[in-house]
Amino acid sequence: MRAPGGPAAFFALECAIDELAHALGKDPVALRRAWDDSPFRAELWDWVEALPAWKDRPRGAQTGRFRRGVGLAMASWFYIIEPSTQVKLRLENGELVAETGSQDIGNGGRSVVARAVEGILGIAPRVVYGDSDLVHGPLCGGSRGTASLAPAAEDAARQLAAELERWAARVRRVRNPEVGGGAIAHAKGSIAWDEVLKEAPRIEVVGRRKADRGGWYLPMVIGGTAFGRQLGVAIAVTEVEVDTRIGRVRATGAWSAVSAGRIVTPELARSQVQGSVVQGIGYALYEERRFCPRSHRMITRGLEDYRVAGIGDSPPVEVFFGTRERPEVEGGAIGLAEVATAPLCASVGNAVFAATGWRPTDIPIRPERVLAGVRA
Amino acid sequence: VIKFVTTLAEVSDGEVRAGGTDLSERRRSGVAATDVYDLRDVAGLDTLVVDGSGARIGAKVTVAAVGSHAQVMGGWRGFGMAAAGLATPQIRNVATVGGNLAQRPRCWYFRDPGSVCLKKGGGECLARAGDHLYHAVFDLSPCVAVHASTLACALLAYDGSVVVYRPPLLAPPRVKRAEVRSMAEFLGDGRDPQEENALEDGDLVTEVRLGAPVAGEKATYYRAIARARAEWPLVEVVARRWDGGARVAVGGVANVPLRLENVERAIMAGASATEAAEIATQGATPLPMTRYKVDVLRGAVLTALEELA
Repeated sequence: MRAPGGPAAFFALECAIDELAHALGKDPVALRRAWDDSPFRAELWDWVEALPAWKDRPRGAQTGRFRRGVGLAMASWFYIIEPSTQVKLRLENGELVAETGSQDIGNGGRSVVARAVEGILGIAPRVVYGDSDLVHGPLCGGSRGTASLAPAAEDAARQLAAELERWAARVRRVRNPEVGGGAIAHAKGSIAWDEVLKEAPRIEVVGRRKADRGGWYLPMVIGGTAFGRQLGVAIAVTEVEVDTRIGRVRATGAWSAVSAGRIVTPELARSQVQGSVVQGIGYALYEERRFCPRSHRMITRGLEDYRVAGIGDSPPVEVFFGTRERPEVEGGAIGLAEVATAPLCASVGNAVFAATGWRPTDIPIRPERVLAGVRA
Repeated sequence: VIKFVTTLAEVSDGEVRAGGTDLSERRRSGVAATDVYDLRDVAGLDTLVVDGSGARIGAKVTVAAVGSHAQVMGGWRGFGMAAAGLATPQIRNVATVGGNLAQRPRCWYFRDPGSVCLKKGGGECLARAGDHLYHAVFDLSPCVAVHASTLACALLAYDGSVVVYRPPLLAPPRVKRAEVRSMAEFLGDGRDPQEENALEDGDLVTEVRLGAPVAGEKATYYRAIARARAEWPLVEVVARRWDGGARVAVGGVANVPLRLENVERAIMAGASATEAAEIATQGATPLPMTRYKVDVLRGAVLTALEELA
């Protein structure tokens, strides 16, 4: 369950807007752009409108067994911060180590810490993770990891840089020392990082996640969680093929545009969005928790009955990150995983409508619903 | 093998483990709790022999080995395609031919350790009165779970047979321990809601047999599923057509795979694929939630027959 409630809510809202565009005879993008004043989404709409898959989408009624359609939907989603997030950075025994009590369940927080420190010092630390004895790190959930961890890691890196510069000035007696690019530059040359590691004293600093400019959306921090004042935004475009004979819907292409400020680790952010798309397709087509109508016991007990999208159900996914910055946000990065999955169900529903002229109003869009809808 | 079946005969209850893809899951959930008799250490049963008289496939041969066997694909294409098309590569690499035939159904009530359904000795079929989205379209038994074996469906279409070893203690005098049964005999009449085949306690499937290939035969397997892979079929079809004959068997629609002789006769009489597919749905008695499967059945048979045209 990602973006709890989001996929279903945007399915209802964005399919209704698609229906409105259809009823008015208007282009679904033009209709939305007429009222969408988000500066973050403007560049995403530009990208979508230039997509060949969208521009050249099939239009008009189709009659064959297999029918193709392209649909789109947008979403906004809040972002969460754990203001108590800390990252400890230690220079010790010739090694640079970063520590935080977060977990990595495949979401890549460890890489975020390493990359953020590397961005300032020019050298990546070994990251120690997943131990609650360490300083507080964010939980995995609510798209909060990067937005909480990166600024704290950068704060720690800046403190460490300042300590090293003081050491270089006092002990090595260099003028104007400046840490960066994996060395300490000074007036007459530089001290290589290997040398720094060997000679510098033990240094330990703790970086914190400072508040955003303008504070939080709610004045108080609830359960260690603060809501940011901005919204992440996303647009999903999905192409489907509907087999009207057996009622199967297959996603054949997906294009995902996300604006979430600074992208700290681009390759991991991209794979997060790809995962969000696959999961969104699962919500749209397969996933449902079913309860026995008589006993009310849950009968979809395992992954055999609770059906999720598999590798064969995953279309090629093209990802675009908006470039508009968010200077009010400490660190400039906000969450992207949930906002990326929120519009998927609706885009699939709209694509099924485009392909068949039948408007799904329930998810998952399973064979029994497709067959009933297309025959009607 | 004889030692194994002798041991089986001496225990009151127990289950045979081959690949374990079904049994392990039921044991983990607590649905199966009897002793396990593992075929792992039983020698033999793992060869696949093709000669002039047909194919003999040991019960421990993996589904993947059948699905990737060039001679099987050449001589019995519908059977080979069925083996290559079921479950996932991981399952096929472990699951065995014998296990596929003898596995238990996938009904979510049967698999729920907290539900006592008809199959587990309860008083009624919980799916019939409850959620039966993936259940029978031909309501032939008090239990509406569909038969889980894709290979049984394929063997039915190929007039295949099964070698069953009977424990010596239970075998009547002068009856051979090994008995060759047609698929119809193997599956039984399906009336007993607690059984998916006619095997008795202590019986062991040791081999599957296919007759000599029919020259000039066209055959196919079509699996109607909502996902690309890894899904139990809504409907599956094995269809064969040759000069002077046709066979069509379907699975996922009843508590046993069904051979559709009325469809075969229609094909032989020159019916179009569309007409034959319509005939496939005759006699369907869908449950309230499985009416859509009549459409899926028609579509699946049509797709298979179109492939043979």
